[in-house]
Amino acid sequence: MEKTLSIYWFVIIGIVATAIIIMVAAFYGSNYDVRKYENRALANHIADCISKEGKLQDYVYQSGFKQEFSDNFLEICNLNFNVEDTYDEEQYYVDVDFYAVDDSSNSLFSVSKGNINFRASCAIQEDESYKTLAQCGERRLYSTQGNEQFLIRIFTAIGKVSENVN
Amino acid sequence: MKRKGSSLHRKKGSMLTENVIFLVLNLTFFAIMALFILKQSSGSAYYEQAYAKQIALLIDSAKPGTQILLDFEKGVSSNQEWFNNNFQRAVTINGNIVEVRLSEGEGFSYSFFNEVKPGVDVLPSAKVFIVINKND
Repeated sequence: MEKTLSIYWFVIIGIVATAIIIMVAAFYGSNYDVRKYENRALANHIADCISKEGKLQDYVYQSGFKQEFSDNFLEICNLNFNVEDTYDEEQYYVDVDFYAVDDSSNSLFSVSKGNINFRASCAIQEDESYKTLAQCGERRLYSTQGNEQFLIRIFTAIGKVSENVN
Repeated sequence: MKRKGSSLHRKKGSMLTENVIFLVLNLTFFAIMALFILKQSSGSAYYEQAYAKQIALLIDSAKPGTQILLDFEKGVSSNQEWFNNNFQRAVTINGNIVEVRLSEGEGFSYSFFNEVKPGVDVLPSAKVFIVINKND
């Protein structure tokens, strides 16, 4: 009986049980971060809105970029940036820049909507990613309109920290 | 000599009992741990989050006219009785927020950015049918 009722045995059992409980609770209780996929879906949605079959939509460009597109970007592209009541501020940020195909440093036209503070979060994460900050994504595509060719850079950022990070 | 033999038998017997108790305690411990892990892995909260995010991402990627059929059987199995009585409120969409509830708790909510009007129908067989309608 010495072995079974030994105090050390119960201590070991207790340590093992506690470790298992902590690990299992941490694994199954943690949130999964889906913002990477959400960023991708958002960028694809915007790309589909701006360009169809490789051509810029008429509401974006018609012998010049249309300011109306920038002003009504969310309505035109069927976007709704409302989020759960738990957040006080917007949890999305979108920035679309249009460049001439031979000059990718000077933007010809730009549209940005959402929480601009996420821009800083993304700049911080250039070298290392921090889960508790907004997650960012970028997509580039080419599009034409008549004889003009454009490079379009779609930058997206999503906060929603409380649902994606513990 | 006889006495020595019986004492040896008694010692062997007690050793056997000791080992059997030790083995039974070990088995009980691992059984309890296995049950705990199993219960945690099939908990409603785990599936509520998974389904809510899955539906939100599907709606985000969908175009108007898309029909989506999801199977909730795995998540429902842990609380089948509650689901049988409340299946109609297992998935609700208010505005652009999806809420999934598989037990008598708060459920899990997640928002989607696609400005569409999804229609949801939850069947008693734990199948969820979603139709993506254009927002008027």
